[in-house]
Amino acid sequence: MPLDTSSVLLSDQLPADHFRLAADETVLAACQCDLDRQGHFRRSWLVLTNQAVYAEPSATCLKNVVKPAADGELPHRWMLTASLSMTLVSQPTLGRLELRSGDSLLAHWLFTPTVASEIHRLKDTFDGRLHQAPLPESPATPGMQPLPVSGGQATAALLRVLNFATPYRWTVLLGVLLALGSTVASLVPPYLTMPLVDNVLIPRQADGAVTAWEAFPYLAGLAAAALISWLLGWGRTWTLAWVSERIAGDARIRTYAHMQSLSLDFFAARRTGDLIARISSDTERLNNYLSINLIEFFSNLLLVIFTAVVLLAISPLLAVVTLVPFPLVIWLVASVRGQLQRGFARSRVAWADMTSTLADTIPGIRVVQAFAQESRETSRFTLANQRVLEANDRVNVTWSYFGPLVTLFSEFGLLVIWGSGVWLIFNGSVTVGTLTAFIAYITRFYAKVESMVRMVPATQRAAASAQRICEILDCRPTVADPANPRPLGRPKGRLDLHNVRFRYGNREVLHGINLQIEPGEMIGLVGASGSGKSTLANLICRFHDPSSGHISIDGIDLREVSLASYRQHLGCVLQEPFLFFGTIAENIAYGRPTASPAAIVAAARAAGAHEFILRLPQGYDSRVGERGGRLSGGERQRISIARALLVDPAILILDEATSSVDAETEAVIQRAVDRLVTGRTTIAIAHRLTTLRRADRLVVLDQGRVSEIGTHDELLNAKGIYARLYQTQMDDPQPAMNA
Amino acid sequence: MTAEQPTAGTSTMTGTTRCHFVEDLNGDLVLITADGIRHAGVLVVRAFPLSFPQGPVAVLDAGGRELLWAESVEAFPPETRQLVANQLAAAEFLPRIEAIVSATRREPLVWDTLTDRGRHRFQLAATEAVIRHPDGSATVTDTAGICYLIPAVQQLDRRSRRLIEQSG
Repeated sequence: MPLDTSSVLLSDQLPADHFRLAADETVLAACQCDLDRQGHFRRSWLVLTNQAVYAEPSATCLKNVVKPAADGELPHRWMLTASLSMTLVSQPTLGRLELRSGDSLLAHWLFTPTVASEIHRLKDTFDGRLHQAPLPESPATPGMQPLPVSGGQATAALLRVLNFATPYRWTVLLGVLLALGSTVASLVPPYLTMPLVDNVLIPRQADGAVTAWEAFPYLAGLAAAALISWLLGWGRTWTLAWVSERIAGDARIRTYAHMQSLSLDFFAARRTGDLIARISSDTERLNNYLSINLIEFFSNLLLVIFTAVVLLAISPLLAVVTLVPFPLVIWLVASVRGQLQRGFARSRVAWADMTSTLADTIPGIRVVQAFAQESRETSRFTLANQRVLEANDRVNVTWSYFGPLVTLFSEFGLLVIWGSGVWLIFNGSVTVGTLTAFIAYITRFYAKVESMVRMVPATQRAAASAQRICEILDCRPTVADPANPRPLGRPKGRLDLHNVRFRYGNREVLHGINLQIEPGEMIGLVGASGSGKSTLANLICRFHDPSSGHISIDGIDLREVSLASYRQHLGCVLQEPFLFFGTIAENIAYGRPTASPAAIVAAARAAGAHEFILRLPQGYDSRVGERGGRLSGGERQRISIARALLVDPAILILDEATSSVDAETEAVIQRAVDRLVTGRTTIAIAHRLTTLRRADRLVVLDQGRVSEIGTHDELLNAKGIYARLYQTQMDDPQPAMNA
Repeated sequence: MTAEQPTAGTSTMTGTTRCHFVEDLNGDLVLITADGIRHAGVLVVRAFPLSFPQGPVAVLDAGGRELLWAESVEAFPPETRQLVANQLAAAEFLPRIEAIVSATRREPLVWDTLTDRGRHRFQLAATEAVIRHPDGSATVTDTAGICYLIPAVQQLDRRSRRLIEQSG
């Protein structure tokens, strides 16, 4: 269900006649504001042609005009002149587009971030920017772009997950045949009781003519049937359990692999605990369902059908009487299905919420304990747990009354058979043996119907889980590989940023960055927090794509090469180095798992990490914990520098690599960094300007724009932002990490 | 102004009585501080728009730097209070959801709602989109980052409440 804002070619939907364009007038851009003058949701057109700007009156705020626009009022028109200008004001929540003639405000329009990208595009077109750079537009707002899913029902999701069974279809078939066999075998015993009663027991009681030996074949048959049924049942259960374990395992792998391919904004928008719950407990639930419930359901269904056939064959009249309560059961199932599905979905959400609480507090345990908030965290967890209980209680109420109700129906069915059986025997239409067999069958029949009914909640529960798995599978990476990627060998490392803009919703963070970086050049990015430094680094890593403009490597647009081929030449050292659970050697070799021990040691040496590693009890084989365990911040940082060195990247990103350590450690790290940057295109971000002394050029960003470029000396002489920043830090030997 | 340290002392920020606002020709707000400096295109924002809307407000310059801090709108002299309130009302965008007409049951979660600003359809942010607050209200965030307020969940109609529950 795509929202209408996602449409790309809005101008195609433009009611052109409404604007009464001149014959030689062409529409350059059109967009819809989504708020009217009073700030109410209402869509109205804003159109830019080669001659004028048009706007529907309802959304246009004219100076000193407050009255609402009357319907059918003609669109406003402003002819394009040299003095006509557009400005965008981004307020925290709403955006405002202003049209000015010289200094005076002609009109303005309000809009929400939902339509921000179209409005920005219109303004860019107005400013004539897009004429110079006719480039493919990437999805403008970073965010989730889930594909609309066919079906739209939880049950459809379940069927989709069952597609994972395709590779195992022969095993499934074998399991089904075994199920069929064991079901048939289990139907034999009641059938044998019929002649046993009629031909042996009753004649014996009546005149004592038969000997006990005549009962023997029947008893042997009963025993054989039981044995065969047990054997086949064993095979069936084992086979299908094996398959369902594989299906759930495949679903788990596919979901995890897919998640790995998703872009950073996917992870930014979701809680870790929720994702973990989806991959671990939801797939396990699916496995349980497939291996236990589905098998049971299937053999029960077979049994019910076969029993009905057998009953009809023995005595159609009695059979019809017996099956009377059956439609009631069907109706009951249908009536509670939806209720159960909603209930289980709620329960899964509550469960994921609880897992999220764990994922929040366990990594943050130091903060929790340092501030003595253990009891508060426990009560937060208790609250989440309480919600799980509430959600489960609600759904339990529904399905618990349901099983006993079916039992009641089956008791009722049994009563009907006894009653009608007695009457039919007195009538002489059926024998005692037939009735006995009927009673035996019908007891089984309703037992199976009962367990089939229990299948309904199980199915709804599994469907809720399948749906949560499919939701991940349906997310598409916002930063995607091109259909036909251009090959990228080892790049020389020339980076071109051409009019790069980036927006988070309404907020444009980068306003058209132009920058050429030569191969092997070191660029220092300087600027206050929030000036767009890290965003720029993220764009160069291609964690996001620019909202407009483009970045190219050696003259090739980043969007034309595959992510993997580009990123393998990229090295990153981040402010907070992340070490995986494993040995130090494994962590250093993370980007090149095949690296030889000698290469690992060489990288560690160059990173200044070698000596402290040797001092650890197990040297390079020392294990580091999830969050780096016993290592200090500076030590972890040097390991991450060694990691970047080992992949020998053509492009290196240093994002505040030294900001979290003391001055002495910084000096050590700085030496390591100096070795690292040699011969590589480097983009280094730092608050402490002294760490950028080796940079060939410094680029000063101010509120998303490049304000100064030059060497340290040039910028000092220019007496601009950089000179001021530098002076502040010189005056204050231990500069605060500002904001 | 750029030379000012972002965390300069608060002494200049409490002088609400010694400054005043005017509107320029284009309707933009101009703050004239006690020292007589004109700051054009200033923005008035609430510090706690959701949890304490009657509470502190700040005046930011066009570059987003804090010029003035007030414990509440009431702290301004009466003649400028109205201007401040107008500006807050114009910049504030917190649609109140009055009813949920329909909601998809699976992602993408799309709600069709009636708000105090008219009917509106939006897609909920991936997780944690609906946050319930202890006072019985709830906030909803959409993919574009717009925040919606449900002042009292229990006072919605039954159907809307059920639709909220199914979205978590």
